[in-house]
Amino acid sequence: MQEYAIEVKNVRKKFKAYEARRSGSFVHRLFRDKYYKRALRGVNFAVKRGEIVALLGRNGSGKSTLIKIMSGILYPDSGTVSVLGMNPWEERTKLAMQLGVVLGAHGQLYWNLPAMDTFALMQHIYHVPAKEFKERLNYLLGPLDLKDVYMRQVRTLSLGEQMKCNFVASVLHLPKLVILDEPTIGVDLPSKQALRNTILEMQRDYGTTFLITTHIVEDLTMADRIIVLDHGRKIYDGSRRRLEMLFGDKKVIELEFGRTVDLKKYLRFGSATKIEGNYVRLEVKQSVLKHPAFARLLANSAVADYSVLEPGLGDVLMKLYNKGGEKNVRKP
Amino acid sequence: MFESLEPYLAIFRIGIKDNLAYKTDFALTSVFRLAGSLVMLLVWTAIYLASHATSIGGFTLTAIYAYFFLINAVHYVIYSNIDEFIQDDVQSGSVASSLIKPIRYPLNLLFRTLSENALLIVVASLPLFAIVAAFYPLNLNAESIALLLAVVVIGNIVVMSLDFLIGSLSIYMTNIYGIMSVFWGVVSLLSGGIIPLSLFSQQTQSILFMLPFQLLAYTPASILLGTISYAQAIHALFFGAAWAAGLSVFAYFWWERSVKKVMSAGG
Repeated sequence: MQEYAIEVKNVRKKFKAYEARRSGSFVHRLFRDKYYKRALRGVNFAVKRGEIVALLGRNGSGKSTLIKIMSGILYPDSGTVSVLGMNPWEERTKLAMQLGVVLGAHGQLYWNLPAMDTFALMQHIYHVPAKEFKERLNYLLGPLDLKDVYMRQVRTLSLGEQMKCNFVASVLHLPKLVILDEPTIGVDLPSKQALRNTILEMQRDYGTTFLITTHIVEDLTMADRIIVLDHGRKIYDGSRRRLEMLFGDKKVIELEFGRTVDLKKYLRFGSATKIEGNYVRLEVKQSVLKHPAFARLLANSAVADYSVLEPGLGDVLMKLYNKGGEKNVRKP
Repeated sequence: MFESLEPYLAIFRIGIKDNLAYKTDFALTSVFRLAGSLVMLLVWTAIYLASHATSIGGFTLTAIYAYFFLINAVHYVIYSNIDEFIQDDVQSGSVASSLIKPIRYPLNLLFRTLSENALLIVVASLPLFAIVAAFYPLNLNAESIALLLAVVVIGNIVVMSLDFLIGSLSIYMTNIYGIMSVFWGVVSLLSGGIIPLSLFSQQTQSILFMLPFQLLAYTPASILLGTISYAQAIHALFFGAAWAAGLSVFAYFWWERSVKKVMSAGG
């Protein structure tokens, strides 16, 4: 058996896209201009069998394009892709039997029918024997808290319940590889945790490989590895721990001012990652906290409240995006 | 063979359930579809009253009523909504979800439309047919029924091929409601859906009878009314079959090309 579930080598893809005209006469602005968008610019990575990998990136970074290429519904312009040892776009139907895909916004549930009807359809599409179908439903519906809702019309379910039902429909055939495009979008906190637990259980019980795109930092807790894309390029590939270490000896200080102050005095000691009204989130070196001048600034009567925090993954990711890659972050 | 049909039969079953999810809506929509015949009946009644004729082009007013009821009954057997399904899937992006399933997308569409047609046959075609049979002497015997079945099968192939050709345009143009309306409006005229083909001039008829559209309305209705000879019906079938073969091959290659376009431009 091959060691890797996914191997992506030097994949490039550009799209023809259209943009509305912003200037000119009314008639001129009725037409659109064509341009080419480079969605992927030579992406390389591999995912081992049984691994959970989180694929991160800002909107438009190329995540969904990559997912479509790996699912076999989009050709790359160049490069090679192997998924479960198959070329996805040449062996699409064969690969589909071993693949489960949830494309966030594009649900596969029948809107007017109970989710159970879609589950039954999947049973027939993937030729799941009746006994196993029943067992798998029990395996998934209980932990995902869907037992009371799966017989109700999908249109009456909450967004979170729909997302969970979509997930169940995509994994009922126990695929070897599951690709999830933002699976926890719109899902409440307990359901998010239930989804994460189910993903970890499937990895443990069946050795399922997961590739998950997400914008939710908490989702990263289940990932063995994190890959970050930006502007069609891979800018990080490694563990969560290594990603956290990118912040080094930095701390985050949240400041709440009671009145308007000269922010320059504070920005001398670090860089602001967020300024919103009287709120400032400041990234500083640990040594700054012992600096007498900075201590005086914190004691200033203009500061209504402040707290010193360990940087979260969100802070690290923002820094990674802003600097354009791990190497740039590490530069002194 | 039967195992490979399993997913498609499941698509057919869920399609029936989906259509019947709102039964009152379905029943009222079906009644509204029947109203289509009534509009044509009113128009033709006005024409007969204004012209003071008892027969136009060999059709008495009662025969015209029977004709339009029958072409409506046949409509739900022959026509399909595959072009609309393709457009909806392209617009909503669910064409991507369909392509990542281990099933053939064209067969998926076919069984989706069959589920809709099966219901319409029960709620629209059969009642219309029964109404006509109760009030008009239909030409029902083994030969006419065999000919009718052959016409329906070939007519179906013609419509589905055209559906794939038109529906595929949505991959290039996204919104094709205008094209569908114009195209199927013209098809309705050329098939005898608005005016029986026998009322056109001889030259126009000779052209229309070489096209496949006559199989979608005029020929099946005329077989049941007994207004065309079996030789004429077989002649129509011969042309229709040749068209069906050519159109289905063209639609297949056009569809394959269009799917590649989806796969190169994104679902």
